[in-house]
Formats: sequence, C-alpha cells, structure tokens
Amino acid sequence: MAESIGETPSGEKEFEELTHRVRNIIEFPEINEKEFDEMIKKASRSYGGPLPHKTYSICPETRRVVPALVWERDGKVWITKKCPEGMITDVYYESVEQYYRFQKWKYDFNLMSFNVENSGVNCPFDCGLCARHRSHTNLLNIVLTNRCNLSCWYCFFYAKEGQPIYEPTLEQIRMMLRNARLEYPIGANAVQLTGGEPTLRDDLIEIIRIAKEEGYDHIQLNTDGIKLAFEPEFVKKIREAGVNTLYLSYDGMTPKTNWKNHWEIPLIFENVRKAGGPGIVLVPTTIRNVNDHELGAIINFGLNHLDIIRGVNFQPISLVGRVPKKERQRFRITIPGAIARIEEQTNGEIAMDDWYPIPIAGHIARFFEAFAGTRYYMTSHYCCGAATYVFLDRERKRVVPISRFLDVEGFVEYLESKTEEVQKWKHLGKLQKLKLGAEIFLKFKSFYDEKYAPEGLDVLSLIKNAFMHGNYDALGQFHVNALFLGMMHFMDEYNYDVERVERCVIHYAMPDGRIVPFCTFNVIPELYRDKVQAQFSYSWEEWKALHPNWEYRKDKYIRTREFVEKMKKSELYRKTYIDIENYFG
Amino acid sequence: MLKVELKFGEINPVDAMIKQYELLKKEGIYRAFINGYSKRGSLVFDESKMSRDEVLEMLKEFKPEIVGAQRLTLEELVESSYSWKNHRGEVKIGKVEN
Repeated sequence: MAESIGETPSGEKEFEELTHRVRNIIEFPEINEKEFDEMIKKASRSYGGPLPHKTYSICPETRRVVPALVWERDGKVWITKKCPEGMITDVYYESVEQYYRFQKWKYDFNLMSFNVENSGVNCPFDCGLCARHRSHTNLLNIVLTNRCNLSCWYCFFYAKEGQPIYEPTLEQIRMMLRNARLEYPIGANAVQLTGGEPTLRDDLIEIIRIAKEEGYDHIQLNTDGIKLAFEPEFVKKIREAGVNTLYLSYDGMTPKTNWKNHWEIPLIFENVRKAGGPGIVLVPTTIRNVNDHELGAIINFGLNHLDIIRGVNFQPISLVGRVPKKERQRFRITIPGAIARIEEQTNGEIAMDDWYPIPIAGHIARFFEAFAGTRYYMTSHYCCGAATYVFLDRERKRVVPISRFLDVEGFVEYLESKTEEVQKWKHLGKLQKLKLGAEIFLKFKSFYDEKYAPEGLDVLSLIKNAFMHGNYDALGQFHVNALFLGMMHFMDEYNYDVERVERCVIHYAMPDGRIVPFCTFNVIPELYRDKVQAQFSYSWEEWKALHPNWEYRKDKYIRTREFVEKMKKSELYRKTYIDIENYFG
Repeated sequence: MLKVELKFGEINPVDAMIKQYELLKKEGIYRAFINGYSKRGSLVFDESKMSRDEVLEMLKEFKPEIVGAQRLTLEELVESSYSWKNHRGEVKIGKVEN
C-alpha cells in the first residue's frame, strides 16, 4: 500500500491509489441555451421561491457574475449557468424532497452594521461585510499563519520554501476579533483559529487569551493534531487557556483515507483524555469515490469515543479552481448525497429525515432570546448545512437520533404560534411568566415520546435548562451521551450561488478591516484570501531576519517508519481503532 | 494611501462589476466600489504602488471625474471599517415572507 512514510505526509500517493477504482459517477443533465432562457423567464426570483429558481453564480473561467438557474430533474436539484464560453451544469443538491423540506425553514437576519462602503450591487465582489449581508458572523475564522507541518498535494495555501509568510500580529488579531464581536445588533461569540497549522505559532496561548479577553465564549482550534499527539503538556495549556473545541481533520478510518493523522490519532485522544479536554469535533472532508463509503464508520468511531468526541462535521468537498466535468462527476457529493450514504451505512439508524437545516436554529434563537436573553442567530441559506444529534443508549447498545423521540419541527412550529406572547416575555409579570412557561413546558411534553428516548436521559429537564439559561454550559449534560452530527457544504465556482453567499454565517476576518464570507474568501482568492495575504505577508528574507533561529524544515512533520510500526503494535492503537463496538451492526 | 471619490460619464452595471473585479485584483488597491447604477464609485489605493494617473487610465472608458480625494493611512482605513463605526437604521429581525 502506498503511504507517506519517512516523509512529510502529502496524501498524493494515497489519493492516487484510492481513485484507481471509480464506484459511481453522477451524470449531469444538459440543457441548451434556448431551454435555459425559457426556464429562467418563468423562474422564481425571491429567496426561497419554488424551482426553477433564478440566482447568480460565477463563471469559473472569466470570473464574471452570470445568471444561473437552480432547477429540478430526476429527483435532484441542478444549477446551470450561462457563461460567456457556454452552459455549465453541476449538481446543486441531490434530493428535491430534502431541498423543499429544508426550504421551509429559511430565515433571514438583518445585520445592521457593515465594514465596507460597497452596497452589495456587485456581490460577491463587494465583500465585506457590506450593508446587504443577511447574517451576523456565527463563526469567525482567523488565519494565524500560512505555515504548515504537512504538505497536502492539493493545497495552494500553505507557504512553500522561499514563499512569503503570512502571520498577523497580536494587535491585528485583537482588532479582527473585536471587529466581528461588535457587529450590530449581534456580534460573533465563536472563533476558529485556523491556518496553515495554527499550532505552529509560538504565541498561540497568548492569542487564545486575547480571544477570551475580547469576549468569545467559544474558541475552536482547526488543526491536524500532529503537535497535540506529541506534546501532552501543550494540550493541557490550550485547554486551560480557553480552547473549547478541537476541530480535527479526520477523513476516514484507514491510513489511506485518513493519511493526515491516522497514526497520530490514538496519541491525540490519549493526550486530550489526560488533559480533560478540549472536546473534539472530527472533520471529514467528504469525497465521492474516495471516502464516502466510510461515513457510517466515522460516526461509529465517534460514538466509541464519546467521552472526548463532541461531534462529527462532514464537509462535502468544495472543488475550487478549474475542475473538468469528468472529475466533478466523479468527486462531487452534496449534503443529501452524504446523508443518504449515512443512512445506508448505519442500516437506517440515522436516516434522511433525522437531519435539520441550519436556519431552523434561527427560529429557535428568537425564543432563546426572549427567555434567556442570549442572542445567536444561525441563519445561513438552507442548502449550506444540516445537523442533528444522535444519542447513545449504552444499555441497549443503540443509537437514537433526536428526531425519533422529539418532534423538533412540530415544537418549533408551536413556538412560532406563540411568537407574540413569547416576545413580550421580558415585560410579563412573575405570575404571567410562570403561566406561559408552564403552558409551553406542558405542550412540549406532547412533542416528546419517552418510549423512544434513550435510557437515562432526562430530556425534559435538559430542555427546561436550555431555555432558562440558554448558554453554552446549559448544553453540558446534553453532550454526555450525545454526538452532534453536522454537514457544511462550502461552495466552489461550479455550484456557486450568490444567494448563499449573502447569507453566509462563517466568515474570515482580514487584517485590512474587512470580514469576508467563507465562500468568497476561498473561492475568489485573487480578491480576498491570496490578495490580502500578499499585502500583509513578510517576504522570506524579512521573516528569516525576524526569526533567525527558524528553519522551514523544522516546521515539517516527518512520519517515520519506526513510529508507524510502534503504533501498529501498541495497545493504544488497538483500543482506539480495533477493540470498539459496532453500534450499527 | 489615497481615497478618491468618482463620478462616471458613461457606465453600465455589468461593465462596472467587471471593472471592479479587475481593479480589486491589483495589490495596490485596498478598496474599490464602482456602482454602475448610481454612476459613482470610490477607490482606496497605495500611491507607492500605483499612481492616480494609472488608476484613472484603467477607468478611462467610463469617463471618470474625481469629485473628492482624501489621504489616509492604512490604520485609518482599517479604523473606518470597524463594525461599531458603521451602523445603519433600526434593528429588525424576522422571518422571510415570500
């Protein structure tokens, strides 16, 4: 088996071997210009309208903003755009049924602050944030460095030897944090420190402290975990400094599908256990014909390490750059496609209907705001993400998605019917509050079916607690037996939808004072990511002069054969991967 | 750095958008907004990397006229972008209605 041993892992050999065999191809339907013009004339225009729907996209070649049609055929949703060089089609969403089920929960937030004078008429070239943006920053990304300890073959981002180094100063980082924190009327309270590999920064602990000082409740570190595997004290330090979550790359169950850190994972888990945290979210980049056969197994793996793993967040691949149609048909997977694989691979234990769209949280947020005063509106486009919780019933060795014992949609619909009363909550007298609270709580019971609930989980008190306190800590008990499952599909040039960008909730802070949606930052790097990093980078010579003891090769991780052999034979490896339960058997 | 406010004699929204993209690719340009509807725009650029004439040359097809100019530092540009300095209107949160 081809593997990165005795060198810095790059994944090139593993990917080549994995893609020898093509299991399935997604055929794209074609429409001609005349059909496109006819359909677009009749298409809905306003956000959330029925299919066919008119939107705007970006041309992968000319980078022009072009009209696009989101339309339905054979149970799937497609996006076709009219580019100067011809028609381009890609799959937008692999289930029309789920598209409409999720669409029902669309929700727009009116952000009242902005960072650039641009009005948004030239979206997505006006970022940002401009006055037309429709979500506050739910998760702020700050790139701490473009140095990396791996050398992923497909990555254009990390600094190769001799290239400029991007590393914002502590003052710039504080400014970026404050800028998003003070968006109006609601600012960011969650930040992801990312890279490159953020653990390569010597002042990471200081940066975490700054984020805490600036009022961030949730600090997550986006990492390959290599440093955490070999430095147990470092894990303790980042936890103590305030990191809540390790957003840990984890692409599969074998050294081939997870070439980044398969051999290091057992050590990372051990060090996290010893340090008592931070909680881990596994992040599989999901690719058709590469690792889409392992999604159920990854969830099962998470359930086996529920003491330290809080969630699995699948990211269907974003095929950024110029990608030929054949390759898109081979590698493209969308949220419903990944969910369907999970349904198959968990023998129906986690099914299509067990997932919810992200903006349903926007509807719930109104009630948290009224009851607990907390303000956090996740209001992305309904096609950007999906999520659910699954509970592990340890006694009966079964996995129960929340939807099996709680009618979430029914309960939210009920809350919607109570909007007016709930919004007056703050001004109600003590007796009136008690009356309304009791009414809602009693009604809640009718949406809850104890018979299907996991043993030992007091859902009623949990919900009560969440609504009364509405903060991060209130979710503590929830996590003991629960695994969060998420999907976040970042876009590329081929499935780009300006309506999704306008509602993006995951943003990057830039040192020039702008805050930019994820899918403009990374899909149009020549205007955002790469450009701003070129403007604010150190040249190789400047960097070397500032850090005379630094050496490029010392940043790089070399996975030795001895290490791999030692891990293979270890008890720790066995406990992590082999002696585990199969909850979906 | 220099911030220029512009008025255009001949422009349409599609060409404005294309031009804004082209301008923003330049490393010396920190902000660009070309509004093809209102026929106005603004640019912030680093004069050590590109001159005012170079910028105007890039816009000449739109018959640009500088209607305002202001020198500013990078720090001032960053400060002008702070969320707490740029609020608008009243707070309104609500469900989307079709």
